[in-house]
Amino acid sequence: MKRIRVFLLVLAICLANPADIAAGEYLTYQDITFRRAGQKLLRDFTDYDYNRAYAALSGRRFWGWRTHTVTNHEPVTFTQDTLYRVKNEGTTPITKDFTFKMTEQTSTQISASGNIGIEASGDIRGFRTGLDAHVRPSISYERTTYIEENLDISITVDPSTKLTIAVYGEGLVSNGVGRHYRFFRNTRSGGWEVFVLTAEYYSIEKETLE
Amino acid sequence: MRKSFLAAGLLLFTVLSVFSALRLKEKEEELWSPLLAHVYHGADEERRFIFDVLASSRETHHLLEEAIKEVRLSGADDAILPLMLEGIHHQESVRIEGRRFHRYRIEVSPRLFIPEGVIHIDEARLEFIYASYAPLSVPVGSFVHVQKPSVPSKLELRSLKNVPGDLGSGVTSLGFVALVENTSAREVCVKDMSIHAGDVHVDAGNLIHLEKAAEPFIAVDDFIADYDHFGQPCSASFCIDAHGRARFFVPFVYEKEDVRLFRYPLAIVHESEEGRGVLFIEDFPFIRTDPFHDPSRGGLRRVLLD
Repeated sequence: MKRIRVFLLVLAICLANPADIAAGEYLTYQDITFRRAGQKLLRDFTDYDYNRAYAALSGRRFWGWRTHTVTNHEPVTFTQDTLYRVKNEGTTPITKDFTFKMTEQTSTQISASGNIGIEASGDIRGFRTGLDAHVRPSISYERTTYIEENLDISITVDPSTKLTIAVYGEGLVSNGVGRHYRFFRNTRSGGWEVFVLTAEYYSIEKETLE
Repeated sequence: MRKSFLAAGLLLFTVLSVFSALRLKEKEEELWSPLLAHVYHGADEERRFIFDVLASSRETHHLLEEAIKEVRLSGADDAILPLMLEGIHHQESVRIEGRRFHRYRIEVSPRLFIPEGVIHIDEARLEFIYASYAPLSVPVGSFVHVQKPSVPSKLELRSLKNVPGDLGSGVTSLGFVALVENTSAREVCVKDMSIHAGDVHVDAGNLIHLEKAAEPFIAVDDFIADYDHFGQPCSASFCIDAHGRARFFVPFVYEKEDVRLFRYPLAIVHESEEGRGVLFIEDFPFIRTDPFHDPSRGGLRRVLLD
């Protein structure tokens, strides 16, 4: 009897279905544009997109994941942020030493939808229940922390001028769907997405105020 | 019977030797360093030069500050710049193809006062001298130190945008788009442009004047088709009317394929009836990327540690 109770407890733990939904920081960028037309981020997937991707999955399995990749390492560009914006509405130029705090982003970020959860495995975030092994085999480089660096620069801002320092960037996006099975029973399903930041670009722009 | 024992013993010895050799190879310590065009300016006493490296072990004595007796930069033409070690900081651990590495930031400062003028060290190597170990020499690319000119400028920068690209070793700066304004009441002629980056030069001879602002994401091909980034740089001059503006694109030429440029100062030398002037833009981080991101692409040098 005790053995049956232990078995049922283990089974219940195995079939537990926590609904974690998490998104990578890249989804906060102002705009993300695929270089190649016809590509979509996971957040823009419609029910039709999901259904079509699920239909591409092969049949049930005894235990483990079935996955389908919709977007594979597609290059994207994005506007990340305006790092600094200052207006000089006075009548004399401002020459100032500006200090910008720049954060080196984690190069690999992930998002998930449905009940595919995200967990911290050691010091690296990954998908739950071993999905990483299926969808990230080609990602060979992962960082574990953020690096902050201060940039000191002296810039003159003339009267009636607006100074803007903007940050743009490039990255690679892979996404798709997955279903996890335990004893042929579908326990988790949803979309997964991996974003790899490849470079950030800074630009200086001074505009005359109208 | 005795022969069988001998053969079995020999086989066991061979297997154990191969196994030990493989284990030893696995434990081999190494250091990875990116080849960058390092450009620094200014004469302030707090000036720090930064070099990032990846180490395969966190316990290596090569990066222990207490073990290091002396640090210096040396170059291809016997140039030596003595340095003070300001600190070696562990920044993060990274996983490359399943292997864990540790990223360290090495901060050094000039040991001596750097005189006016330009210091250029080609094929620069960061050298560590230890009290009890053999010296270590790490290739870092090229190193340039330039003083900010004190000549006033008749030109003012209105816009500056980097043009990135990839020459085979990962993203690097391949040129820039700038908008400059003549703030004087006389015509000003641009005579020279320099970014002071050792292995990378401004090719003003291929400067293209632009009518309108560049898009956020631009490539050299948007301005010049099939541009050769390994050609000879040329100089050229152009003039800007009184209170006029000039918007232009300038490409860079590289001396070496595997050096990358992320940040640089820009000096635009100009002349007018009132004399010579220099528009100097302090070094700006046009590109921020992880130089270790793709070790298979080149641009990194591996140093085996004893």
